[in-house]
Amino acid sequence: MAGIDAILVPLLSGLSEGVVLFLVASGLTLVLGVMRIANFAHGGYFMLGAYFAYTLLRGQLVGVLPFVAAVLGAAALTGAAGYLSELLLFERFYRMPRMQMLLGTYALLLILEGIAQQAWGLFPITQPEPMGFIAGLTVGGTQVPYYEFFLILVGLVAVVGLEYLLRRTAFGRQVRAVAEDRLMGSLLGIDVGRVYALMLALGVALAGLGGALTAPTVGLIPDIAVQFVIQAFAVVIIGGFGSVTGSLVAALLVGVMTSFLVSFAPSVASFSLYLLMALVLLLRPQGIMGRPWEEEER
Amino acid sequence: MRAGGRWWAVALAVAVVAWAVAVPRLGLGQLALWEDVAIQVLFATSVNLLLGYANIPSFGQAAFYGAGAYTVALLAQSAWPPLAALAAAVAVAAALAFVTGLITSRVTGLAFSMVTLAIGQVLYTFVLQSNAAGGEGGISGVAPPARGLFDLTQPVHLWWFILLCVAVAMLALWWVVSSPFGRALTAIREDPKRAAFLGIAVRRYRVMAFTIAGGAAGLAGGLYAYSTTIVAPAVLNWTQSASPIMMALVGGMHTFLGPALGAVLITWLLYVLGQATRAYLLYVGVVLLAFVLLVPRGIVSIPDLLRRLAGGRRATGAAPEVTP
Repeated sequence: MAGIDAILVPLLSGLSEGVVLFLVASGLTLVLGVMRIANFAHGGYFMLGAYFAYTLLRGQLVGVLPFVAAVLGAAALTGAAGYLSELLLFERFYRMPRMQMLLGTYALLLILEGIAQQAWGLFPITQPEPMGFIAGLTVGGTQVPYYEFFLILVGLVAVVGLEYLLRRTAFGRQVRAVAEDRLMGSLLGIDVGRVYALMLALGVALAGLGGALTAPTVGLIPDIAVQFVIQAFAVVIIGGFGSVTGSLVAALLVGVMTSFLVSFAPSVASFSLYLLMALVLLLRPQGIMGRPWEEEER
Repeated sequence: MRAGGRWWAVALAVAVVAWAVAVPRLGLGQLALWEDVAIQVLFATSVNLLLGYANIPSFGQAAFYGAGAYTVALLAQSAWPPLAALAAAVAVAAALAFVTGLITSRVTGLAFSMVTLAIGQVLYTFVLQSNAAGGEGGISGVAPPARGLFDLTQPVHLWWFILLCVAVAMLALWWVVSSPFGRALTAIREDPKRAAFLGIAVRRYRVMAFTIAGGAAGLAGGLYAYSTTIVAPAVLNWTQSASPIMMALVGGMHTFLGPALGAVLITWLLYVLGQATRAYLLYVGVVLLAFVLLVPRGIVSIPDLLRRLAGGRRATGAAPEVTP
């Protein structure tokens, strides 16, 4: 009987961590796949989502419903911030040479982190988990927090929702057309500028959602912007540039792998993500689900 | 070199030497700042060898900078003489860069940036929890052994030692970019396919450039270890890779001294902001964004920019085209 929880507990915790990774990475990979821009500022929006959730709840201990409302509100606010920055900045970034573009999004990351430093300070602040999620389900003698089940549920909803949006709606068809061939899309009458702005808003809102869901599990400091974006990039590389399914598989794989390593081989756990990435790059450079990455030299 | 270019070089050298003499009189704080400036000048120039000359968009140069810093910090514990420790730092960083260059030689463009970034993070997270390297706290008390005629435990002696090392390395990098090898790199930057048709072994040249830049970054990191006496994992973090790229862009890529100029400005700016407030990232971001949007060719392009603006106002015709 002792065996069950030794497997199940790290599995659940890994899956729940994988869900957050997936939310952030899927936003990043969508933006990368459609607009061909590596958005370092993505981590900044993740951080904004976390702080927005904290501010909406004023750091109070609340019930499940207000918490869910605040999380959704934080994601929407983050998406709005992303939409605004697309109109103001990203539109110029797309036309830039690669390094200039990367530094542009890096500058935006610094600015977002700087704004958080000014608004919320440099010291860690905490947002308690919602009431009712603090307890947990006992699995073979070990308690698994309800919050982990909640995260897994959110992940399921997000996967189905994204799949529906991209495969079944008119907007999704436009997105796929523009990702395939921007010029052809615009010739067919698609408003490319609008698709780009909405895609950035969506991608960034996913980061904000991930951030808001992370808020109760970490001490909030502006620096999470810098830390988290690189993990998301690694997941995107493992999954394959531009592939949402790929980043789902990669994020869950990474989450579960890290969780088991924390239990069984803690010294390897924290950089196993990057080791896996190096392995994928050597054996299958385009990532698990990615197509070969054709690069226009510029 | 343009007419008068030689005089500019002489004037620049005189100004640098005069400043080098003046700085020790300004106190230890200023000495530390300007040591950092000199080190970042070397680091940014080494990164520009990749970005500006060879169009190798590495976002992981902190790995080699940090490898150099940690090599010196570890060897200083066994009282290695500075020159030997620095030589080892260069060797370790160059070897690491060579292996990285080989592994990544099949990837180009944006994917290359991401891959080098992630490889840097492997090293960062590894060092973060390695007991031998001091874990999160890093290694403190890095100092050259106090012996010999030229005692480097004296701050002023260390200052001149660092300047001399940076000057030698900068001359070596200048020699690299103006050699046939450097011109081949530029040819590859302009058109990799044509360069390959001309018989340039593109992949081998790229790996060589990567190795040289890595070695130079290692030297900068090693000097950093002596200058600050503390080496913490932050020297390996990816933001440390972004910083010399930022300097290169702000100063001006595609030119040899542009990144050095950017390094002086950014390092000084960070120091001033750091004195004023701990929450300074917003200002750094705004300055960088302004350069990205308005002056993407960097400080070195500002005179041309102004001339073009002034010329445009005076004459009705097109402004004279200024060649870079």
